[in-house]
Amino acid sequence: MKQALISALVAATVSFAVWQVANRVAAEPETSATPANLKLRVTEELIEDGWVDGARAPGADHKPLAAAASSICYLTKIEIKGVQGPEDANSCSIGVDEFTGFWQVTAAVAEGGKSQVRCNARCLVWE
Amino acid sequence: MTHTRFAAALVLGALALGAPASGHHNSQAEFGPFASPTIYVEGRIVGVNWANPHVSFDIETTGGEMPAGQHWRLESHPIRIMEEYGFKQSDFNVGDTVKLRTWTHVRKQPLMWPRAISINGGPLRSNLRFTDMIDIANGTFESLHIEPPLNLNGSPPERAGPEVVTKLREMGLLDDKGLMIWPPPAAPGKR
Repeated sequence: MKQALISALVAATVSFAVWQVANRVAAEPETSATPANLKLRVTEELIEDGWVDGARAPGADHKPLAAAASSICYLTKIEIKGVQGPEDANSCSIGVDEFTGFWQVTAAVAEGGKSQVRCNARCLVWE
Repeated sequence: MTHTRFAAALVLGALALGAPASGHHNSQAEFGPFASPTIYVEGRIVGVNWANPHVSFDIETTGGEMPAGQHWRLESHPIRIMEEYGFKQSDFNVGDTVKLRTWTHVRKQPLMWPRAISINGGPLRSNLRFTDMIDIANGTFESLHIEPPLNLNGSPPERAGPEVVTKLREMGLLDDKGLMIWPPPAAPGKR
């Protein structure tokens, strides 16, 4: 009996809390832009994407793409040539550059690598 | 629900819009032709990346033709080329002030390619010899007060363009192999 009373009390409390939260969410004004207000565009395919020719100078090439606050970026191509062996490591990645606030694509060939890596990216931008 | 649908549309749209690309690294494709106008910018170095495939510096603008407080990344040559120009890693330190004649990225990305760099009030040093050649051929180089790079003498001028090559040859600034002579040979009778 005691257990049933406790269960009922917990259930009532949780229900009340959920009801309160739901009411609060419903009452909050819509502050973010709605899809109808947004203009979407896709950035041009980069002519100059991130790329590294390890045979000339291995390292990491960072290429800013679009302001991270109003876009999402994605890799569209990864091209790797001339891998010499398992130690010839290379990569493509996308991340936010905290200094510029831009998404950036990074092509990298590890020190000692001889391969070429080319990374392309585009971004969907909302304004 | 609306937001969920919108997010899904964003992702689907993004996935649908990928396309292949071509091209290769070329500073003129990113920052405009060698002869295009530059802007004057003052700033402070807040980061140094002395690394291949090209060095870069993060600067916060303090004046010139840009509002103060902006964050820009200066891109330049690979380490070997920087050293051939006469720059050393120790020339660039966080906190240094810089004055730049520079190009900005043609696609409005926060990137600059410096035409010439002055550090802590020092001389304005060239960072692009082909633009030096163009300015020399046009007779405007001296008025810019830019210190030429160490590798200007002996450089092949072809990337500056055929008209510039012709003009430099007429000015007696190319040797028998067609390489740049700098500083200019003294005129007969002068020492």
